Amino acid sequence: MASDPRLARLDLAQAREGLLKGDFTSAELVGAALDRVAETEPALQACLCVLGDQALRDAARLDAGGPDPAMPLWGVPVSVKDVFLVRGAPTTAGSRMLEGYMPGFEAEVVTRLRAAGAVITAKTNLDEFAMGSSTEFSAFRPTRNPWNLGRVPGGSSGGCAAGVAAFQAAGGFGTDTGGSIRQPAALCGCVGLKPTYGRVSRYGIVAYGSSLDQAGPMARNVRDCARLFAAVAGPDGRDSTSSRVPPEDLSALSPPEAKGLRLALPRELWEGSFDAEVGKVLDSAKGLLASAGISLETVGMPSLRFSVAAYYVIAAAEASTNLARYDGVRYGYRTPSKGDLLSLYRESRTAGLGREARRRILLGTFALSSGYYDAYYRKAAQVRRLIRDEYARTLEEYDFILAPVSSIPAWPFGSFTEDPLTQYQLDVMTLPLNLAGGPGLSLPAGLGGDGLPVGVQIMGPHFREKALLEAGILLEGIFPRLPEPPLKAL
Amino acid sequence: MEMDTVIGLEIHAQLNTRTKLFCSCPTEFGAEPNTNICEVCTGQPGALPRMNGLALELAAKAGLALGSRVNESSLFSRKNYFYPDLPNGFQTSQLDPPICEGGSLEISGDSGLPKRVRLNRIHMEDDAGKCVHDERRGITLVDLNRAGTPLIEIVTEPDISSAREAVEFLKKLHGLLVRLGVTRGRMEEGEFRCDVNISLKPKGSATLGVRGEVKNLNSFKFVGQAIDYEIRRQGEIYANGGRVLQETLHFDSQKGETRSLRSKEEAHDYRYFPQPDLPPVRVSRELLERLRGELPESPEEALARLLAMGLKDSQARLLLDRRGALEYFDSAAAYFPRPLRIASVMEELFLPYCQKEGASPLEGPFTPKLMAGLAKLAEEGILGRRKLQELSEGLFKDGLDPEKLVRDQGLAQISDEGELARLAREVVEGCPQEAAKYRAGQEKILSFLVGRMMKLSAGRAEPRKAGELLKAALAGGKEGQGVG
Repeated sequence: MASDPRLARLDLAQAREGLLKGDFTSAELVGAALDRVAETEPALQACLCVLGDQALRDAARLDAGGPDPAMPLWGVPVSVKDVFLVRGAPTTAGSRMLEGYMPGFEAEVVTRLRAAGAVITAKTNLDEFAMGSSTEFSAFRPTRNPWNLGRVPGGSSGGCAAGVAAFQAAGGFGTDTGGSIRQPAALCGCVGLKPTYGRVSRYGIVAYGSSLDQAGPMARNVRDCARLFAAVAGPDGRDSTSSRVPPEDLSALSPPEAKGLRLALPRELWEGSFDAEVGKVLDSAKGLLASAGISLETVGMPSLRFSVAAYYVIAAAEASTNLARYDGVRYGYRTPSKGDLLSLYRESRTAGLGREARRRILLGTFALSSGYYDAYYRKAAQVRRLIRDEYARTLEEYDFILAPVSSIPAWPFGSFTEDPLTQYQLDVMTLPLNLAGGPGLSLPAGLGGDGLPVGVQIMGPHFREKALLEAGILLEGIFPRLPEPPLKAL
Repeated sequence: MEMDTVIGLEIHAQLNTRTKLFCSCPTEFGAEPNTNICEVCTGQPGALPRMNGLALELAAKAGLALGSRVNESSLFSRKNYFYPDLPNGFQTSQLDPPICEGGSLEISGDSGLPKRVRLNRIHMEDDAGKCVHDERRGITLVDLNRAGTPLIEIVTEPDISSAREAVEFLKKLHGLLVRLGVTRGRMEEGEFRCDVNISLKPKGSATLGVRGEVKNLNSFKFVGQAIDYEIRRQGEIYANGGRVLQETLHFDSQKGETRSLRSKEEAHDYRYFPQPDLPPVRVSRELLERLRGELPESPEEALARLLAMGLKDSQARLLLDRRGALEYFDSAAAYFPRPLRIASVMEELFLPYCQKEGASPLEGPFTPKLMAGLAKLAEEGILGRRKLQELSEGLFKDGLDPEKLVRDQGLAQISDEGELARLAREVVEGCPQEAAKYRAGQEKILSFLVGRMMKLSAGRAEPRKAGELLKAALAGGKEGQGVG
């Protein structure tokens, strides 16, 4: 089947216009996306499961009913990270433990995407159970960065970011526990939104750190992100942590005036050491913003210094018990050897779970153990409150917080796999937002001399995604537009 | 050395809800294995709990009835351990703060005086599933129907001193919670079960001894047996100069003895921490007020009310102790507001009858309305004590209307003095020898004459007045003769 390669490159707004006008059908658009997947997958390895037949059937069913303008994502191909349960497709969460696991229900996000008319085309690769920032900890294979196939795409939603950047889908959904949407978006040169905690239902998403996990969209521009976000945001009775705050109306977005906009730049995040190319792009980005009339002011947020420590205690503690259900008893990998109960647990979990997952389970188990709880978990919870308060105070004075997303660009495979602490430290830019619970938007600020994209993030008040996205549209217009990623090893 | 026994109880009561604590699966007992299950209660990836509002209300209600402080905000925590019947790898329970703190329940202590057993706390939690060991095939099967069933755990302070006290406490608590509708309390189905913490210490010593914890007792009898066994076992260890180990024990009801499950060294570190999937549990002031309004009177309040009506302490306690008696009394008193009369008819005739028949007052054919009628007949002197006694069984058994019976059979007591005087004269005239003896000083013969008079009146003469009027007839016999 030879589809029009231009179809895959359309953004959501263009695709919608063409679909509603009848220029092409959903089946054609989805077919073009699937062709693009087939063409790029050998290089990228972004998908753990391509829902080819199912997607084409879904598209054909939509076409049979004709375009529905009331459905904001009618006929559009969308990918989801392989932590979202999708009916009829296995959910692995990037783990051997769940290899072949077929869910009996569907994630609320997926249900809402379908209700909005979207067609799910693929389940994308990730670090096992979303634990990692390079997608190298996927139990199946690493995903490659479309800007340089020798580099990681970031993570943990690395498959989603790489796929969206490489036109495999118009948009996708990832999850962000400590930066897992924003960081791969930055490293792959696309836009990613981490919504306010509680804004998007977690029902049917494989949990990592329950008090931090939040699902959000990734796309090639801010407006597409907004469109995807609007389709899934809002209260869900099946997720008790879902907020009852009514969702904002995102149908009309208009960027604010640059003049008068005040951004706070936390010293703790800007004054670290940066890769030279990343530093150059960030400096130039700040220059562009300033010359557009946006006020940039350095502020102190001293509690951010503790965010890496606090995050890894809380996330690991929650993960250690969230992953306790993977015991080989009811589903998932079970050791074939016949021993006693303890060896069933030990062997199944040792073989079924990867190194990083086991490391975080041990870390979290330790932090919650009798005699250590006060020193670790309780302390971390206190730090979290400090960060949250500091975040709120800063946003009383400024419109948004502006920060880098990563101090280094996409790195060569294997750089940190033996040095987890250094890799944890790299998350310093993104973790504070998850601890604070607010929304953040990562968008490309430019390309470094090494040909790798560099991103920045803006963070705003809780449940005010609309203003954040509008500011994102403004910034997107100020920063240079990225070319098409080459999909080559440089 | 003489030893004191110190006992604390942890009671698990299944809340009377149709659905589980965190999902909408039915809680019914006895379904085919693994049919009442869903993604939430089997711990599937991505499933999240949502709180059953009725369970919360029932837990709060139990607290109100037991005089506990109901916390406006309480927290669920994860209690982490691995077992095949525990689908999430953690139990969702409450550590700090639980929904209710404090409270107490009064029992009659071994000293004979009322004794208040203090409660430490009441918290909510979900139940685990069930492992079925198939010995023949050498495998273990897991049934998750029960997983996620809502429970409250009621923890007492170590205020109990004997098996008798423990059993009375449990029976009273069970009765109260069942009456409130908090639990259905079917013990054979595990809806009400108990862990017993028991230790011995030298008489009068302030320091607690090392305790054994006997797990999962599901009958009052086993609780009593397990306690008595432990008192003997621990007592012997102390007597032989040994050390009691802190351990978890299982009670073998066949052999009537406890045996060790695990020692303190093997105890779990449950790694409690706040359950991030559930926000704090809120009990609003409005909800609390509504629940308070729904609460039946506490035994203490009922006792005070009955005493204020003028009932004797023993009568009031009798009404409180017999199941259904207080409700029966209250509704009879609504028809005929002479509570003292109703209480005495119930105490002397009706409750003994019910106990003999093993029937609950409210379930029998003799309704409170009929009781009101009977009490009225007694109050007005229409039915005498003797007649009342004679008729009661028949009335109670067949649910006959006493007022109608009295009307139809002319059974009303004769208390009219003219009528009684006439009968008295007739008796005196008919028994001249006995009358002569009486007049000669043999006063004891009067009772014979009263008997004749009762016979003559078919038992309807009021005995006290009959005696008086006979005396008058005997004394006035001569005058009468003169006049007559």
